[in-house]
Parts: sequence; structure tokens; C-alpha cells
Amino acid sequence: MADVRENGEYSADNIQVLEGLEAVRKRPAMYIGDISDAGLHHLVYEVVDNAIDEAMIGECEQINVKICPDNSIVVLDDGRGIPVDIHKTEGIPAVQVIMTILHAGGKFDRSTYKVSGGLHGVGVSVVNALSEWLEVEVFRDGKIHFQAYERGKPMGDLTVRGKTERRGTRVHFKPDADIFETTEFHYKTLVRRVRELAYLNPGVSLTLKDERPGREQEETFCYEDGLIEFVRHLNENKGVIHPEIIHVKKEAAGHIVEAALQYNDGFSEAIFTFCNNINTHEGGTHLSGFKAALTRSLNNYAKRQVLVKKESDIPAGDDFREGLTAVLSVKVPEPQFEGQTKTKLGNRDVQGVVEQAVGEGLARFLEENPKSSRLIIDKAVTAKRAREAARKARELVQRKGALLSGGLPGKLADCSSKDVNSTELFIVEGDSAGGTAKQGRYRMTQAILPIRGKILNVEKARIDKMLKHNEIQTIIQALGTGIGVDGFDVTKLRYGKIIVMTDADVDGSHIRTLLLTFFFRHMAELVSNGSIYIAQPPLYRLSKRNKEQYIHSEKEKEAALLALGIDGTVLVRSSDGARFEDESLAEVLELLSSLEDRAAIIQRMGIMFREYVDLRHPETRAFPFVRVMRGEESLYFYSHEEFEDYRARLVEELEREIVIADLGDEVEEAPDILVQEFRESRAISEAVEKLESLGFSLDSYFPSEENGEAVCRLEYNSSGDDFP
Amino acid sequence: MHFTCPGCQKEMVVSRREEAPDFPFCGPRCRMADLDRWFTGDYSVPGEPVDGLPGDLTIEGP
Repeated sequence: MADVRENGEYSADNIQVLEGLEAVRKRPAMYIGDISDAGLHHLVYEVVDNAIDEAMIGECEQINVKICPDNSIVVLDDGRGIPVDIHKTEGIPAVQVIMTILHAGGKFDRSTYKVSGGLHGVGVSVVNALSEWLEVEVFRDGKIHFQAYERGKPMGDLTVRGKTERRGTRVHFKPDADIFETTEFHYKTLVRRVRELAYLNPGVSLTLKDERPGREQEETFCYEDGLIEFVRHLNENKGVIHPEIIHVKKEAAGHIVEAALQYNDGFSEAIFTFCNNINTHEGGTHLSGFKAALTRSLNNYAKRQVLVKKESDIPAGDDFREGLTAVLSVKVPEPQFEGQTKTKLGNRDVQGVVEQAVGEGLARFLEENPKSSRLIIDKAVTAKRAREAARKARELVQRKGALLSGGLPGKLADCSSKDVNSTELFIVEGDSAGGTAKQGRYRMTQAILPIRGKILNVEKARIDKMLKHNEIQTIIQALGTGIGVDGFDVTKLRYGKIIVMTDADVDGSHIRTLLLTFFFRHMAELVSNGSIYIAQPPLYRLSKRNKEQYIHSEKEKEAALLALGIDGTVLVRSSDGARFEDESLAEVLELLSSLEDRAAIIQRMGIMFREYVDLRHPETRAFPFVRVMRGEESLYFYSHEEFEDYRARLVEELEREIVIADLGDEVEEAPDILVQEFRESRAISEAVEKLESLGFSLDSYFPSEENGEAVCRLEYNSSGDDFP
Repeated sequence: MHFTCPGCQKEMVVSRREEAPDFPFCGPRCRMADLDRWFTGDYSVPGEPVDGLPGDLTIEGP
């Protein structure tokens, strides 16, 4: 056992040593950050990190950390044990060098540990300096070596205390209450770091034990799948977007890059980065490389697979990190730490190494998992859109303050009353709309907002109708409510009623559908409290002399015209001189009109109405109910029962179930028979029978060319001036 | 109350309307993403196909 005093080498160097540790005690914050909770717990991390260094080169499997009842800490590992032989230049045992000389760790010798953690290499000597007492036991070469220190100073030489078969190092220390504001350890704080180290070092088992009375507990952590399990743990109880945890691992240029990531359905970003097991809270070059790779790989994939159609939808980096849970761990031979708390990695070369490794790994995952990839891209696009919408929604409100007109759209013809309950806003679309509505309104309470629809020709297959650019924004501004999450305020509504008034045609109904959908989705309160109305403008105005009538539908128009036509008209049948007027004429015309509608339907089915009528059953006078085609042959049946009988006979004949298909259907199997059903047959029968009961034959429905003689003639009297 | 979020198609079940502040959406994110579609004019109503048969009156996104 060598001793400085024995060797008579109590040199200036050794005095420097003491001065070194004295400096640590004078300015502890310089070495461990602070002297509160964080600094206190840092002492434990420092000692554990030494054990982890052994684990990283595969020489240590089990690390035990214990909080003793007196708030002292024991860290025990099964590594090789700190060397105890005499240090070449210091002339004292290596363990004593490590314990008493700043920056003296084995980690400064790159041949010992390729990469190493620890707090920037200040090492365990700092822990020693800041401890009321510290005892180190080294189990090595079958012996137990022991040395004790007080406030960094050795209390005697390193001695052998006995024999052992185990190996490893045990450090027991009690933080100095003269230095620290608090010396009470928190199990929760320590367990977080211990678990973290277990995730970062797959296969290493870490146990944390609390022996303080009333707080006794013990947990052991060991993860074979390391970072993958870390991410799984972080995403626990969260809805994940895709089942797989993406894992990347690559060794390049002396660096080891490992990352695991998975998206959840939340909005926050959780990226944990480590360099040599140190949690780099402030990020740094490795994080920059990771972010760059993430954005680039996902965007490349989205573009290649055409998952993003519009340039404006391309997500930005932030969008790709929404809901992202990731752990990035790099092992770097000579890490440089910067930043406020020295937890920002500064090594420039790391950025490129990480970017390449993560980029390659991600690209591979994306190609191999198209379903998950799509979900990830969709999430980012949604994030991007939501961000854009929030910005635009804010702008809508801000613009309001900036304009003299109170931010109202220029084309709004506002009402003069400020009494919200009595006012109405007409949202008007269509050709007839804007101008006429403005002319006809009651200025006091009725406001008009003309909007324009736009025709969109989608691949020329159909003509879609949509709202013109910015019309939704115009509506929101006119209503004054604002829009979006936390943006919509129903109490700011400027009108009592919102009335959607579009043309009464198909285009108009499409625009109305759009507007109502918008209100339902984004101003649901207006719908539920009954503020939204639909105006039903008439389609036609029917006027005769000085009488007017408004017509709201085609059907109504026909009825009105019919009534108008009947009024004062007499139908005289040529064959027998029978006269039909008023109600009886209306009945005849209604029957003819109905028959005409049905005839059109039959014609549309590919059969001339004349031909269909000729198929009328000679005895039952029924019209064909169904047409059956079997090969070249066409058969007609007049009732469902008849058809069923036929089908049963055919089954018997063919001795199997038969395949029936509707005419015009696409069928996989060749059908035995094709059927065409005339759903109008019953209605046609009824109309024809009624006409016949009034004395009209079916033949008279079809004008014959041979005898040009008219079946009926019309007579008019002049009394019918008024509408019915 | 049972509804499907028009954004992500997630099935939502709540006992009271108040429990779904972003109805008919599942949450603020889908609401805002949908709002942007309105702002950018992505919504249209499919109209008459050029061959003359009537189109469906369903609303659809891009």
C-alpha cells in the first residue's frame, strides 16, 4: 500500500489535488449545477454512471442503488472493480486517484472506455468532495479493498479487509449538509433516472431500494428491448396512431445512433435525447439531425406516394412532430456539452451521422409499412391544416379591428337596426339573388349578403358546385361570431336570424347543402338554437289579368296550369258527344297525365309504350308485370304468382337452383334467366281501367294516322277568368 | 349520443351533448383541420354528371 506521506512525495502536485477538491467545495454549483435537489441527486447519478460505463462495455450486469435510513446512498455494481494498483504518475492507488483528483476518471483514457457518461468527466471525486463521508469497497482479485474519506480527504490508506469471490465496486456516501440546502433524497426522482438508464442500456438490471423507515420499497428494471420499451412506456395509456414502434440503430464513424419512435393521437411532442446516457434536455446536434431526417423522410415519402396533393398541404417540421414520442440515444467518443445546464450536445459531426442513420431507417420503415405510413402522413397534414385554420381564423378577427367599416365585408348590405333580435341576414346566392333582394328588402332589419357559387369541373365526369374563394370568410365576418376552437362566440352574433336563400334549382340546393353543412359543423349552436332558416323563394309567378299566384314547385305549377286550362273548357267526345267539364274534365286530364308519366317510364326501359300496351292480357286485361328472357325467348307474366310458378317449373326442369339476374345488372355467373320488372304495371292498369270506365278506349290514347278523325274536340266558354 | 367524427371517422359515444364540446368532431384538431378545408374551398357538392344522370347529394372532401 502506497501512501503519499510514506513515499515522502508530498509534492506540490498533491497539494494541488487537495486544492482541487477544496475548489469543488467552495464552488459546488460549478461542478454539479446547483446545491439544491437537482445537485444532490446528481451525486447519485455520477456514481451510477461509473457503473454504467462498465455495463456499456459488457463488464457489468447488475447495479444496485440504495437509499439508507440516514439518507446516505449505496451504489453497488458487479463490474471489474476500480483498479487498486499504484498509479504511475501519482504514486498512489488508482482508486484513490479517481476518488481524490478532479478529471481523473478512466474515461479520459479512450482505450479504457470508448464512450462514457458521467457529468462531463468531473467524476466521482466531486461526489467525494461534497460528501460528509464516503467509503469505497473494491472487490477485485479475490480481495475486498477498502478506503474511507471525509469531505474528500482520505481517512487512512487503502486496506484489504478480507477475501471475496465477487467482483465489483461499492460506493457508500452521505452528502454534506454543510454544502447542500437539502440532503433528503426523493425516491421518485431517483427511480426516474434509474429506469431511464435501464431503458438506455438493454440487458442491464438496475435495482433501486429505499430503506428509510416508513418508505421502504424496491424496484428492479431490466429491459431487453431498450428504447423500444422506453417508447412503449411513454405511450402507455395513450391512443397510438400505428401499432409498430419504429426502431433505428446504426454504428457509423465511431458513433452509435439509436432511435425509437411512435405517434400517438395527442398533440404534444415528446422527444427525449441522450448522449452517452446523459439526458440532453437542451437538445443539440443529435436532435437537429433527428428532426431534419424526420421531416425530410416523411415529406419525401408523402410526395412519392402522392399522399399530399396540394403544395399548401405539405406539412412542416412541427406538424411531423405533433403526437410524436421518440427516444434518441447517441454514443459519442468525445462529447462536448454546451448550454445553460450543460445538457446540449455540441459535436457538429453528430448531426450528419444521426440524420443519415435515422433517414435510412425511417425510409425503410415507411416503404415496408404503407398503412402506418399513411396514417402518420395524414396526421401531419391534419396538424398542418389545423394550424393554418387557426391562423386564418385569428386573421379574420384581427382584420376586423383594422378596418373602419368595423371589418364588415364590402358586399354586405347591412341593416340599420342594432337590435339583434329583430334583424335578419339573408345569405343570397344565385343570379336572381343579390340585386333583387337588395331592392326588395326592409332596410331597417334586413341585411343582404350576396355570395357566389362556383362550378368545378372534376375530370369532366360531372359538374361540381362549390363556394367561391373566401365566401366562407365573408360569411363569418358578416355574422361577427369569429370561428374555430375558442374562436366562436355565439353572443357576438350580429343578427337574430340567418336566412339561407338560394335559387330553387339543383345548383341552389347544392349551395344550400354546403352552407348548412358548414353551419352544422362550425356554428352548431346557431343550428341548435334555431337561428338558421331556409328561404323558399317561389319558382314562378303566375299572373292572369290582375291576379297573381306564386308557384313553389314544378308539380304545383302543373296543377295550377291544369286548373287554369280546365276553367271554362269543355271536352266533347266525338263518338258519342259526351261532355266533360270542371271536375270530370280534371279527372280525365289527371288520368291522362298519370298515364303519360308511366308511359315515359316504360319507354325508358327500352320498350315502346305502344308495344307494351299490345301485350295486355286478352282475358284478364292486366298489363305485363315482368318480362323474362331465356336465351332468345321472351316471356311475359302478369302477376307475381305466375312468375313464381314459372320459376318453380324451371327448377324442376333443370333439376337445380336457377340463377336469376336483373336485366342490365353486372353478373359474375351466367344467369339462366334475365328478368325485367315493370313496376308501373299496376298503376297503368288502374289508369286505363278508369279511362275505360269513362268511355275512352286505350286505342284512342294513340293518335292513328289512317283515320285522322279526332277522338275529341275542345269547346271554350268565356266565363272562367278567375283562378280556382 | 352517438356520432361519427367527419374528420377522422372516429365513432364517438357520449352520454350528454356537453361531453362533446367539439361536436360533430371528435376534438379540436379535427375541427380546425376541417375548418381549413372550408377556408381553402376544398368542399364541393358533386353535381350532375355530364351524361345527365343525377348526382348524389353528398358532401365530400378533396
